[in-house]
Amino acid sequence: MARANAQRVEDLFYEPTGSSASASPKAANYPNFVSAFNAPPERKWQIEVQSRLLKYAKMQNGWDSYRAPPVGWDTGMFALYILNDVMRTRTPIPQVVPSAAGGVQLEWHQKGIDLELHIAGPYQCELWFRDHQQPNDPPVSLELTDNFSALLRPIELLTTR
Amino acid sequence: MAAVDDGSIADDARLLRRIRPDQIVDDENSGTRRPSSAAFKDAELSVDSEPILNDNGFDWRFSLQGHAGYSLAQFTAGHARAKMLPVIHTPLQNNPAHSEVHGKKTQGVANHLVAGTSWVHLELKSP
Repeated sequence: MARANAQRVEDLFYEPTGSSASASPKAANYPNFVSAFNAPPERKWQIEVQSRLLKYAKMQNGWDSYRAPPVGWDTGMFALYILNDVMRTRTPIPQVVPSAAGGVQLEWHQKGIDLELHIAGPYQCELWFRDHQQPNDPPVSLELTDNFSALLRPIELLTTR
Repeated sequence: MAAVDDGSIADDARLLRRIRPDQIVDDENSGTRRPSSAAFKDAELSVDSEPILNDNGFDWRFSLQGHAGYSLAQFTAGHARAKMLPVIHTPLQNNPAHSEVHGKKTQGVANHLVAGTSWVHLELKSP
């Protein structure tokens, strides 16, 4: 698919010169554009998030020097499942934080947005969202169990702002 | 039975909480490194009451003994009580100042605690 797109885009930048078989590639003038356009979606977030989750899943009881339980494998898998659904190419990578209550928290604090998704276990989530560009709007604090559509708007803002 | 806040810890008492390095987040909105609200989610949140430490001849350094790499954050008992969270002195054999902030910490409540938190000691190096 990416290969097919690459050929199609490059075709747009080739300008046949007369009857010569050798075309003059306009693409050569826009190498960064062509390379960015043809790039597959970045997969960097999976690497960073998985690496954090693996580390947290191996932690022992009391890892925070108090009594925090370790992050369950199913909780980590659910975090990946959620991110896989909502992440876009330009969505910033979340910070991944182990929770004192068990579970894991995905959070973004950038572009005037505070977004936190606390995942205690599969389908046991809490959302916290505040947009500093809308100071009159109260923060959104929701429990999410089966419907995660409340995540879409904050993620869109993070991706496009 | 629900634990009772007998008021023995004054509202202005600083409550000290160790923060593990991976519970510190970069907040680009405020330009700070601060504790994540995830560090305050425990329904029986352990803290050390600073006035009780002082009464026993210790200071905040006591809370970090044996915990290299950790940072130390503080908020006041009154700040927790503003969200109806009981603050209870629960001394341990090896820690006379041990106390707990009880109650469910929703994201809103946990972020309220973060908003009233400042660093007593911010460790710059990971262990």
